[in-house]
Amino acid sequence: MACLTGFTALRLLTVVAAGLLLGVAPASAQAPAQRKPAPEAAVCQNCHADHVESYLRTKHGQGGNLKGPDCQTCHGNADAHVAAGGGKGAGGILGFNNKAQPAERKAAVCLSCHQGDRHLAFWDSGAHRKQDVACSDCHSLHGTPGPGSTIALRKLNPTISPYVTTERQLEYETCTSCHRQIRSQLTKPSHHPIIEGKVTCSNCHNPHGALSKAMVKAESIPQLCTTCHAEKRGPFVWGHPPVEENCLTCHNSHGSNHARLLAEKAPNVCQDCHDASRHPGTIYDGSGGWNAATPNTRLIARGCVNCHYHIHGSNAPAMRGKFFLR
Amino acid sequence: MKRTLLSALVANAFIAAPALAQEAMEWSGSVSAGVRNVDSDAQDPSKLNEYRDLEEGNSGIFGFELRGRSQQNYFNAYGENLGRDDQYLDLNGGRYNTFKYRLYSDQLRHNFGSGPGALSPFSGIGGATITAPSPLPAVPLWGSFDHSYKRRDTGGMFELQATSPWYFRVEANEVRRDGINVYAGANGTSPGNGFTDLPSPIDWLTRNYSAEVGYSTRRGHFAVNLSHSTFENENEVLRWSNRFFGNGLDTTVLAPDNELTRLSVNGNLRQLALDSTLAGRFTYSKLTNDVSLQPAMLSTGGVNAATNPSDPSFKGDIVKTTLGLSLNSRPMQAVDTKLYFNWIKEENDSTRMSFSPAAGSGLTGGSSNPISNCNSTATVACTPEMFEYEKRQYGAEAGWRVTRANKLTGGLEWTDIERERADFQENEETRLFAEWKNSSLDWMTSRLKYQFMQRTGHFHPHDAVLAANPMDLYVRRFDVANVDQSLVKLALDFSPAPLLDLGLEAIYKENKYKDTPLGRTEDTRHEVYASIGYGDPKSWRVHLFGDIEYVKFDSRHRVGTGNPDPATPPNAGTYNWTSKNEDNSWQIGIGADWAVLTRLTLKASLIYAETDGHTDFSVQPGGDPTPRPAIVASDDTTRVSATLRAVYAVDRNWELTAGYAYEKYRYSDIAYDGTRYVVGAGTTSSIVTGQFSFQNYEANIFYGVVKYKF
Repeated sequence: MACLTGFTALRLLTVVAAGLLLGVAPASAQAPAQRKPAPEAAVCQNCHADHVESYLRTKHGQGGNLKGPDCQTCHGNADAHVAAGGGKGAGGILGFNNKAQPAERKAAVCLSCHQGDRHLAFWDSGAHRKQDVACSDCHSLHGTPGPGSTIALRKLNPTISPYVTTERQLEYETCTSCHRQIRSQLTKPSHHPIIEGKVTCSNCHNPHGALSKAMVKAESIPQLCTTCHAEKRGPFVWGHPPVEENCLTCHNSHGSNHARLLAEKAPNVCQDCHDASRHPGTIYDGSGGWNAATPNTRLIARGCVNCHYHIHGSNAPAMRGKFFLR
Repeated sequence: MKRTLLSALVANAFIAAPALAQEAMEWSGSVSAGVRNVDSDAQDPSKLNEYRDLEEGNSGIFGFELRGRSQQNYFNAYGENLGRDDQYLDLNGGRYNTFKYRLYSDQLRHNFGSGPGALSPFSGIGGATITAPSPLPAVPLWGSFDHSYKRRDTGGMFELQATSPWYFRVEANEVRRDGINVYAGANGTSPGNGFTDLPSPIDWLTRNYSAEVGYSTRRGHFAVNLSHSTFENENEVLRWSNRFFGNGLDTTVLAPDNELTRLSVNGNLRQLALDSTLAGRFTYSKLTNDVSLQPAMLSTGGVNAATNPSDPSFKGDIVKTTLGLSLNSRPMQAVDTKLYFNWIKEENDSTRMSFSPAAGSGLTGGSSNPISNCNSTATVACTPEMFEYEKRQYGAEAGWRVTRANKLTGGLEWTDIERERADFQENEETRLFAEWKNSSLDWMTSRLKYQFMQRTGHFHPHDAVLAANPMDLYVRRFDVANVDQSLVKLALDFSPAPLLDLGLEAIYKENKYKDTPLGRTEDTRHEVYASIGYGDPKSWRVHLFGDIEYVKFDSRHRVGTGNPDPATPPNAGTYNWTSKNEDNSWQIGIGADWAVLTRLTLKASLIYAETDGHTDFSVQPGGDPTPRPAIVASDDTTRVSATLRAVYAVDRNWELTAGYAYEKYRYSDIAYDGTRYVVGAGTTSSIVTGQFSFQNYEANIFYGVVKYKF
């Protein structure tokens, strides 16, 4: 199969997008379409005018998305609700903020249209469904997407974060509203640039369901990590088995007190596996720092990795590679 | 990608254009321009700028957003930090139920060191050969360099949905990383020979492509995905002056090019008997590379000694095959079940290399043992371990909704792992869990989970490994050692009053490594997170959180050339010792959003975070009596971050934003406090660039932005 080079693919996409843009842009002078609620949903406006207005601004209610659902498509038939004089849950109406309503019922509404979508292929197998997470727990069905986003995600609380240069509403703020202890890890001294907006939770996890543990987007942890860290794929002449089997043996992907996301600081993390008569088994205690007359080179800076730098694997020959020295 | 598809896509683009011209598009968006002033006090501002472009002094900040909506189409464009190292551009759109597309470019500069945090005696930094005289010049004469690299990810996606239930999707992206990263290398072959920090060129290009065709309905889904990824490194090796070997040019072998091709077939069938969904995924991936091996390496006496590889090039070939199956059912109204199976097999068909450097070449190890020595005169040449493994996992879970407000879930999982590895060839893991979820009270939801995992293994060290290091008979590496793991998780959510939300999450995790004479014996993690949120997000809301985490690693070790058996009595030269390594961290933060007036919104946040590490050592009575002081400063940090932001809507079109941020970061660690750049003297000296040694900073950031909305 002849493969498209990356650059040519990008050009192609640019042509497509430019063609669409050029085709669309000149039309801006025409009067915009304005969608109105369907006749059967007009009754909702009497009491819920703000919700109807907010809905019409969403993707579902796009000015002209005539295939989109209407109020009663999602919330249920309103006749009994109106007859009962309204009220939370009255007449069997489904409120997505109503905690008394089971998650499954709420999700079923969305799945009635979206179950055939590609990204929901493994919803049934995923942990979110099992933990009674409904679509509306993450997605704001009446909300407006934040800056730089096309999906309106729930963000209940103010942002508590160091200063970041991005104005975008970041998805980690939605995820950590439930996965709270992850939020603390994201701001640890060593972390992926998630709070900075350069990595998202969904770069690694599929929140809509996956067959892998923790709903990661790959079949194994090394395959996931080397999607971005391709330089560590190898193959190497001299490999390091725990590296090849599971990066999380040594690293904590969400955040760590230690540089390079190490779960434990070197040399301790290395010595937990390596012991020998001489230097792997030596005590590197508090007397070996820079303040000592002769700092211990196995303690200062990177510890063991000062010499054994190529710890993920090496293609150097003979013992230079065997001990990851080159 | 076939030409016909290419032609079709291009044709559609231009056919679509005039058709789209009939559409009335409603446009909205904004453009913004502002200035940011950063006033920082930092010897090395790389930590402040680790992932942010906070250039000292004044700098412009520009952004835009554009949204278009019509009856059938949508379009979004967004850009921020234009012209800066952290620039972000995104363009996406489509036609409802017909197609969608996305183009993006995301930039990041990862800063590691600058100023005193990036000094080196080497010349030619940034290239593939760096040289320094021997003896080295004095540190004040060293040059500084920019220890950072820029990462630029550019890509796109196109998905055709018009042929629903069939869909076609193509994706491609390219990640470029350019800059410098400091590697390191041992000078000689013995720990006493010192090491050298090596500023190495980063000139990497990763390209990923994938094409997927799928059939997706509410009844089922089936998709085939073919992806291909290449990694290219412009530099195969780094050559550097090694003063230990006569200041000749030594060679560090850099990350090799590689190619990964992956085929994935996945799908599911819904609405089966017992309200079941059967899901499955099969993948086959092949990772290859072709590396020319170094025929000689700088060695003893400054001589380039022959490495004598069995093959001049190494052809890497790793095949990974996986299968995942999952059957989710609802046999009864209140009962749901899950049965699953996962299988992974990694096969290493790479070239089986061996090296036979001459005895005395310096390319052999320090000991006389043939395995660790790589000695051609020995009976066994220097050969790598070819790691392979196969993992089979079977699991079953069942959930019972006892009442509407109570659900009990339990599960059992069994995993068998076989490995081609020098110590453990097989492990079995059994995992049990039980979880109770309660929502009896309208204002409270609670979840309590207990999980127990037991791993047992077949420890069978290779004879050759034991011959090289007899102590390995007693070492159990914690990633495969026998272990009993207990995990308890508690999560509570309260909403006792309108607009008031309280949350509590606690985790307790403990690993007790059994049958471990030497190695990690235990690790624990305790964490508690609590939060309070109050207020109506439409007008004002305050959120407060606190988190505290304790992590501990205990381990047992032995040192000395005597009897390696840790059960034997110690003496001053050979003895056991233990370490207790603690990592603690805590954070407290508060944030508030307040719509003061219709047109004025204030946002503020304050975080205080602290990390504290500590390692204690103890020596077996009868062992070396030398005092073993604890490591008191082990990645100790404090960080204060405060932000304040005011957004004022002048009218429908104009918006003004003014903001201020303050940060203070303090770092202390035994490995970096008091860095002197050089340890020792002469040809066995060690040299560092100062990376991570000057992380402290304090910064005041002011910014103002004018935004025009249309």
